[in-house]
Amino acid sequence: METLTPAVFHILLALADRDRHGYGIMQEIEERTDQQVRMGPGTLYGTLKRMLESSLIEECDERVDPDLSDERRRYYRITKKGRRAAAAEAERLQALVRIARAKSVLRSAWLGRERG
Amino acid sequence: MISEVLYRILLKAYPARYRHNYEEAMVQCFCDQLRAADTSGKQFRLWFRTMIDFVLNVPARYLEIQLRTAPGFYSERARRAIWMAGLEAGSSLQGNVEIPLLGGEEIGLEHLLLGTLRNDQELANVLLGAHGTETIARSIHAQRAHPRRSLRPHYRDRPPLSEGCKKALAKAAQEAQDSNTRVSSRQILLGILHQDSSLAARLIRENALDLSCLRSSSDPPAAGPEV
Repeated sequence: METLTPAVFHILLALADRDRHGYGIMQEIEERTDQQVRMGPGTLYGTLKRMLESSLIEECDERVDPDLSDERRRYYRITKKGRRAAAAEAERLQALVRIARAKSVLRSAWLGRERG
Repeated sequence: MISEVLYRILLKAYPARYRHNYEEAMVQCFCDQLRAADTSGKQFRLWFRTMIDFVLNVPARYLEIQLRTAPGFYSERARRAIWMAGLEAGSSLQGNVEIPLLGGEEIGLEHLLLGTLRNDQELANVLLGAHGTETIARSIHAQRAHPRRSLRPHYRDRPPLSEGCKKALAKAAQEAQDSNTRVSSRQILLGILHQDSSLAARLIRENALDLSCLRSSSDPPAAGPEV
């Protein structure tokens, strides 16, 4: 399976537990990454468009967030293919982390941060 | 309010079709961000990030369009197939002769199917047998839900691609990328087949003698004039 871009992987993770609209996806990513990853509407919808075309996600009609129901909001749902792609990417990253541990890269980075 | 108006003005720089699909959602998203930015400092930072987002993404959207329409991306036959699908969706008068075509408000999967089959007779013969294309054309005429649009005198103003058609072509592009080739007639048909519930996909499945030829690695040599 192809390597996912960070933006695609973040969006798939945001949709893994529930359907969300664009701003909901943005918020989830910001909260989860402690404001380290922030996507603007241009990046978000450009990525969503490509993900729709490659069937990693699909649009859904149900309004999950009735308080924020607005005609303009579009809700997205992860597909089976998207879930498989996210799992494959997570495994790939896990394997990289194992290598980093084996080569003591992760430990030295952690020690460096502690000293700093 | 002023911010929303300014953001809408910025969005006009995006390609028209992209804007048609995403403008309202993007404005909604920006307004949500604006509501969350409750101090002038936060609003300034939001505008700063928005401008960076804008500068990076507008060229990217145009580049995507360029790449997808680049001559190297589609084989000659695939390009002709899409061109013929446009003809199927419109209707044409050549001289004083009306060419009987499907018509429609946009290029749908049925148009793309007929365009591909009529443009690649060799593949159509292998896939469907000698008269398979016309059998499919008759079935589409009989089963299509959309009424035919009135004749247009000229077919240069190609109708837009339907969502199903875009997905089929995106799938075809993915198939081509996976096999490291350009998009061919075969891959367009595979893309159409991927739209499971469509009339076009059903007609291929019902009429195909052997679908395995679509996975064959070699494309029959292109023939006929370039488009």
